[in-house]
Amino acid sequence: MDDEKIIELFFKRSQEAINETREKYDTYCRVISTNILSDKQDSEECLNDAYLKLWNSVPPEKPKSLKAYLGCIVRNLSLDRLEKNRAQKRGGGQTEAVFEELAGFIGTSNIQISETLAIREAINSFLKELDKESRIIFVQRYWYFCSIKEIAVQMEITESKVKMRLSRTKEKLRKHLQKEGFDI
Amino acid sequence: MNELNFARLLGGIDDSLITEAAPKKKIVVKTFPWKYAAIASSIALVFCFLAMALVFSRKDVDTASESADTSVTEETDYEKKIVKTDSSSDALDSETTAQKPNEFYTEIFLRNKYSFEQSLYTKYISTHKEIKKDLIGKEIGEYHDINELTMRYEKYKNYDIAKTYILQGISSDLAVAVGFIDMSDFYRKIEKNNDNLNLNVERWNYIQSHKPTDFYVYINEDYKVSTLYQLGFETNLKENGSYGSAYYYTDGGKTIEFQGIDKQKVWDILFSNGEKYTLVDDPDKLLLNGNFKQKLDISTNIPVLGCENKSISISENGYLFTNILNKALIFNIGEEKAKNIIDYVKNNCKGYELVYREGDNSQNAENANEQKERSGTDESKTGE
Repeated sequence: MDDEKIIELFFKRSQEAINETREKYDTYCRVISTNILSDKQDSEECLNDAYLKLWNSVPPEKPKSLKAYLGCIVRNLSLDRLEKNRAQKRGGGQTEAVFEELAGFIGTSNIQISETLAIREAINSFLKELDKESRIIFVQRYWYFCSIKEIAVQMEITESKVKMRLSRTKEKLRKHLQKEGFDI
Repeated sequence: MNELNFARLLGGIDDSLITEAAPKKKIVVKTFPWKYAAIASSIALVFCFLAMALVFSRKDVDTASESADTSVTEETDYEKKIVKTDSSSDALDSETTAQKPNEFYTEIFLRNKYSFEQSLYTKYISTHKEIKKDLIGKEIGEYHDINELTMRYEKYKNYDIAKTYILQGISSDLAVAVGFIDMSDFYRKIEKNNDNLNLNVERWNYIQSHKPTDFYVYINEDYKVSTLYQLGFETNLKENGSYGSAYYYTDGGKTIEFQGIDKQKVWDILFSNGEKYTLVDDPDKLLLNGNFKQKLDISTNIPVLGCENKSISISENGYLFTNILNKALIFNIGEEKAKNIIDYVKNNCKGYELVYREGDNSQNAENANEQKERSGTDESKTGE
């Protein structure tokens, strides 16, 4: 069923909306969640919470892309759970590796939360100017938390090429953000 | 800001970017199926036994066929094939007839992806071979300003942007396809409009919106292969390669041309177990010392690498020479393996003894015999 029809079901408050969403996007959501959390039970709980959040937010929200909207919900909930787990010293999936990479990237930057909207715009414009392959690799790593190996398989390139691409893209992003006036 | 918050920040990118990068393949978490492991291993054992039985029975057949084919020796009488030896047929195309940019840009420097230093580049050499679009994959990285590093040629002075592409099935560390973009229209446009402040943006847009129409193969001649298997693997020889004739040189100075080389057989004999056949350190020394005496030379083509009529040559003392990467590579394959490939060709392919004649391109053996009779020379002798 296409997304428009599914959203219509949400607006009609039909239970079928959740069933159809699960059928279409369950695997997609699981990938996002297990990449971040690795624990099956935690992922399952996050997925259930995500569907509930989706039900509660649509309407009034009418997402242009149901896939991206739901993906964001799952991702944010998974990151919340991860933060909680970290506090309790429980491990995550790919996240520790990704966070290590990001820690090296942001260093001791003094970005304030108030600047987040502006930074997001800057990141969006940067990503749109990138070549497609680099962009997909970057988003798969830092949005989807895919492993290097998974990305290499997806893109049909070697793992070392994935690493090099990521490294180059981060460097370019750093320069872009600095040019836009952010202290990275 | 910590990395978790930054990760959240990245969560706010546009929907289109999220869906574009959505993983396409299902990633299934598998637990090891212990339940079926026993059954699977039993089946595998059965196949192993069957395979071993097949191998041993084939060995018997091979042994039998070898002993049955003792007649195929140096002294075998092959059908004659006349070859024209007019030297003008060997004339190379003059540089003055070169029409394409790759024939002028014989070297191109691509940024070394393993370093972010601007000054470190990898040199790729033109093979002077054009390649069809269907053998080309994704564009790699950014475009390249030829002006930065390569001498500009007057005729192609405006072809100063090169785009590089993956060659199907070939690592870009080994070889790439290069296409050139003619920037003439852009330069004409900016001449008229000197006040354009967005020059860089306009140039970038022009480059992005123009695609090369022709593509050429460039090879990294410094690319290292250490085993024969690696050579076969990196060039994707099994899929991409094809063989023309093989030439066998008898001790008596005759050349026998064999046709109908089986690509799979060559792979099985030479390359499939090629991890143990290592590169000789100093191939030039081997060649200069006369330690490589060519016995069999197989004409090899790998179209996606611009490789046409290159050599895979075998010496009886166990060396394999090849120039499919545009440089001399010699592998130590051992006498037994050398014999295997030579015997395969001699015993399984159709052979013709080449008879060289000045200015006569007849390939008809009957005509060759007539000529022999007229000249009074008896060339029907066999043996050395």
